[in-house]
Amino acid sequence: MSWLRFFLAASALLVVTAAGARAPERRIAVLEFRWVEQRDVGLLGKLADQARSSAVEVAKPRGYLVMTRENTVALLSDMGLEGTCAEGECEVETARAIGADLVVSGEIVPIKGRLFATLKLHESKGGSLLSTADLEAGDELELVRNLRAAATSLLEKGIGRPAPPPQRAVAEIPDPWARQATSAASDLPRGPYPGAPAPPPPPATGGYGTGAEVLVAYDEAVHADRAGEPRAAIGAWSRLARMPEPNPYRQVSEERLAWWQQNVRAVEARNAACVSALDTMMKVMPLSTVPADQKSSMMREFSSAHGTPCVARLLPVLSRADRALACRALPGEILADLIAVCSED
Amino acid sequence: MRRWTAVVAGMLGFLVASPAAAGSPSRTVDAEGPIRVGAAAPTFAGWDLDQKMVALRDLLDSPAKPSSAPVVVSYFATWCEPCKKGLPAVAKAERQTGARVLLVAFGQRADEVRSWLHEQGVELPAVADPFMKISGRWGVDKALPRTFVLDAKGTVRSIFVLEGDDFETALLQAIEAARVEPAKG
Repeated sequence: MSWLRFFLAASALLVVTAAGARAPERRIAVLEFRWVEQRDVGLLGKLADQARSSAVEVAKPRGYLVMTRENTVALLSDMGLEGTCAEGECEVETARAIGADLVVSGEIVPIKGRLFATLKLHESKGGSLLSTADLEAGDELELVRNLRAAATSLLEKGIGRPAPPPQRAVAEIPDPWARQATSAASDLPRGPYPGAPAPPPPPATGGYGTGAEVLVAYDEAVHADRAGEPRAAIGAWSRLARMPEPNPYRQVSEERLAWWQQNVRAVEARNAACVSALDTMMKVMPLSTVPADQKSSMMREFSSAHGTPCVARLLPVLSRADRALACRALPGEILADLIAVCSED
Repeated sequence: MRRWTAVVAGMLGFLVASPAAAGSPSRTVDAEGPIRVGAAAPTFAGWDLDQKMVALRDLLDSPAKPSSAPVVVSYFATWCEPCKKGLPAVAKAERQTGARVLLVAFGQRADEVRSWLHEQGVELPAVADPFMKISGRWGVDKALPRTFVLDAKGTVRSIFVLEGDDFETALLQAIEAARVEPAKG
């Protein structure tokens, strides 16, 4: 009998160990760097490999699987995509297509004989830019040599420094989805929702002959809707809309689904415009060849077109001097929102 | 009296003939979104439930891995009620015919579907498609389940848009038909 107990305990332990040993489910990809007029594929590959090495160093201890170049290329090809991104939110869409939770991308711009690299780390679930890192080099060799440090800084800023390797390292890994949910939620509107159709009250018990599954799904949808979390609401209304008849909530679920989707599309469009404008501002602000009054004028246009959330993403990545110039150009109401960042220097 | 008898007889006749009473039959179409019967299926690749990379092309006939087995690609989600009925039929078809099967989890991550598939008794290779990028490429965005039968070369041979009570038989027939070269012209 005691042997039977021992056997059962050992089996349970094996099952638990096997479950615990499951491969990490979070992946990080490095896309080929963008460098207009650079035809040296070997050099571009070397730069991406440097970033991959950093990812192994920083992200792997945090539970991420670093996608190899071969996997990335094969996935991109099978999904009908290219390995570099032209602009906007391409990085995020590419990451989603290849099943990466995080994606590192980079661009190198030669200016007056020097090379300026900008690295970005995006997360794919919420689509937000987690961090950026800049690097300036006199030549290609210096760029390759210093890129790894820049990529390490990018990753540490974006996902944190690797935890020291104590026995409880796994338990201390923060949940990246929590971070993503927070950032996604802050990008998207929360309730109340003017103009949206109000959820109907639940039917009287037994009315319509509605099944328990439909009622539970309705409860979940209303809960998600009231919580104001767009993606959860979309998922919940979508599930409810697809439930089989009798489903007295089909119409309202379709209406609310359409309303949430419309909002998300609008916010995503705003985000894309912000990312594109951010890209330009991040390139222009550090340039010493652009006069200060022109930078100020661009900053004014940028802030009035894209608002506080977008400006808030730009300021931390600027140098102290550029940030001071940018802050001086902000209209009063945006400056008031960002006074903490602007008064740091 | 004769009139009422006729009405009742007519109603009975309708019930017997109606799909609801007799069980909805499976339905196939010639085209669904960008997918057309007779055309090559779009390639895709993703991550399976064990975090291994899976590509559709790995299941198809190639010089490196010759195969004559048809391929079944079936889109599902854990919240999809009809999928609970359709997936066991797909699993059975795989066992009976040797067809290669790849499930695609519509809008869900591996950890969201792993135990659900196990509960359904379905032990088939599945790829997670949390951002619906694969589904989008195949035009699967309106309803689930969607099951596609391809021949070994990757040409679409059947598109199931409704998996009715006869789905098991219909799928077996579609798989057998996919083994045969289609008539030219």
